[in-house]
Amino acid sequence: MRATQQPTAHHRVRKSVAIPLLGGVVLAGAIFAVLTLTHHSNGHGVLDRAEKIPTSAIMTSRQLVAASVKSQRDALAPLVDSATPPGRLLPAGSALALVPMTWHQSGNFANAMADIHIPGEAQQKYELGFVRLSGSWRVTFIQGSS
Amino acid sequence: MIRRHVVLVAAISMLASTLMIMPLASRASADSPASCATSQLQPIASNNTSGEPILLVHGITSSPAVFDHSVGGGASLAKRLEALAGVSVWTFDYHSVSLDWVTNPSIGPALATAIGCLESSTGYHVAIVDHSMGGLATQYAMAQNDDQGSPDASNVSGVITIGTPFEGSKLLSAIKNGAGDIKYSNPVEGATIQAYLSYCAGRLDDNFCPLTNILDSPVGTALEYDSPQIRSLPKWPSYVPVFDIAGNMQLKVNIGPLHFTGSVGDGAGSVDSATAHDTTGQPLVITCPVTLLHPMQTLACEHTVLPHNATVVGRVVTEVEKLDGIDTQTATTTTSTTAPTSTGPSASPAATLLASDSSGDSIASTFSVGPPKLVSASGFTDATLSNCDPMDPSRSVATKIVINTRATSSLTETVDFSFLAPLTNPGSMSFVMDYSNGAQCDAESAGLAGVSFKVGPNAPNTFTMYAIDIDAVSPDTPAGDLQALGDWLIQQPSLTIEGNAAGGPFWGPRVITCEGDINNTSYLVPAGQLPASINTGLSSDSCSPQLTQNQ
Repeated sequence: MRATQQPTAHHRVRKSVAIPLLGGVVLAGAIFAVLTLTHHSNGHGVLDRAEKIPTSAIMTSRQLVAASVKSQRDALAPLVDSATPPGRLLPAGSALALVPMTWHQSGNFANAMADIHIPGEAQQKYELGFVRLSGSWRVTFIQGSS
Repeated sequence: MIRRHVVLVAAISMLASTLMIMPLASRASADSPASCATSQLQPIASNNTSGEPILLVHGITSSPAVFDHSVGGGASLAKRLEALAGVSVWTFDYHSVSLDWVTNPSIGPALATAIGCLESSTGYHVAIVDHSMGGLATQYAMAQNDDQGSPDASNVSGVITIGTPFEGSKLLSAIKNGAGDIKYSNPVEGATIQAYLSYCAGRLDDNFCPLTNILDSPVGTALEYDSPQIRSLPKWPSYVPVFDIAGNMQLKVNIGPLHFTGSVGDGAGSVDSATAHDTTGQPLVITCPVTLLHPMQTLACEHTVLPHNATVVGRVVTEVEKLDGIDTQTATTTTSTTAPTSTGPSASPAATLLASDSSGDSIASTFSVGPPKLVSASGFTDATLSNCDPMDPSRSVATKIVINTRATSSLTETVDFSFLAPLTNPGSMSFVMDYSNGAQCDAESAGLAGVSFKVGPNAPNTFTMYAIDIDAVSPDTPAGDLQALGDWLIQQPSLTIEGNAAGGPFWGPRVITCEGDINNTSYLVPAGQLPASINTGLSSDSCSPQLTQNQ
């Protein structure tokens, strides 16, 4: 069974903090706001604290909607590119924007959420994976959220 | 079970004349098995300590409870073993220090003491079932001397490991040392691991990402692939039978509308690492398809759930019973540290082809030398691979694969095929489908990882796919002859293979046309039928394709 239904250590700590009755509602609201801003969960366990998206990752993600297939695929990590069948990653005219404060990094690996709009379709949330190679972030997956 | 000691007490003592010659177990009555119990070593049932001992050793961030997890609502592994006649089941607990390396006195050394005590007090060799790092703790313990001065390995009847990363974890190494520094078995493995680890970044308390919580611990360093700590472990004793069980999550990685599939092992270690010490020649590899962003997918072969996977549990029980057979055969031997002849470690499967369908059913079969292996799974397919190990120089150049599907007049199935590691050159494998019976080609995609295509509706349930193995004809085949071979195959009538512009007809990612008019038999190409001018490096063609359909 996945751990998604289990409280995280972080949450347990929060629960153990005694909150004075006076002002408790305000404080609880503040805690909720902090948790909302620093975590996001998509049903796969809880993500650790989110960070600001590095500029190089933003630049790389923009390549995914470049006009040429080659430019799009240059955004991929080389191994990922070689394993992926030939073809365009996103249709021409697509738009992509990384969602602020959704960057989660562990060493040289990271993920972030993106809003992608494909012409003729409704905007969708995607999760993007990244690997840092020679100081540059490259894409490892583009996964729709549904 | 478990080689029994029939230790004769030699009449060398002043009291010899007053003693009966008796089995060690009886002799130890004053030092009963129950006396072995410590805070770390506990019997599953306190009233059953004298049978042939089975010792369960857990892994990292775990505890003995991992063996007491209900399996499909039924009995746990521990309970299943306890139900065997004449055994006593014990657990070794090191959970409080499980983030330390196995040299911690409370892990490897304490386990050695436990094994020695169980052996000497019961008179039976100990069967050990390890999960994860428990296998490495056992490896360490077996090299320690017991109180008789013999290596603890001589007290062990056999070992069954579940997800033990004998060679360490490439996943851990990739996380800690930099993604570009790891030598992957092939590009697909590397790509899949990179996608998986980027998904796991920041995901705490997620069973899909079991390594996340050990990164900063001593064991997180020790378990890096081929680490100094791994290399400094004592050699695994060759005379101890080992049966390895590995998880093999086949991760489908989406790149927008495209995808590839590759193995991330059980999420903690790779299949080759977890089967490195198997002596049976046929380790059990549990394969399951997984995806990213699939909230409630069943992680049947993930590292932490393997000990309660029904197939695993059933097989562990069977293997323990086999050790019983070993016991029977050697019951008349006296206690000795003389090692039986080793059968030697067997090679890992050279390559495995995984098929999964849109319903989530999956099958996996290993290309192996010998009779074709019949594989089946509920629902989706029965498929028989016509043998042919890509690494075997005597195999066919082309392999025919017959697939049965559930496609009906209204049901379309998506079938994914992907090669698992290791292939010397995954780009050398080409797939050709016979579309003449209704398999659709509009959704086909092919890459280094394999192919994906749709079947039905209105398609017969059986159709054919060919895997044409070019580069693996022989590792030594000259490049010019490979080209000649490719040219020859292309020239055969009614076989059409279209290569990508950059890679040529047989190299690199390729597109398989939808126009192949494939004859069901003429493209099984034994090497002996190739033109003599092509040097395949083959000396014979003993790999005759055989097809069997499992209806």
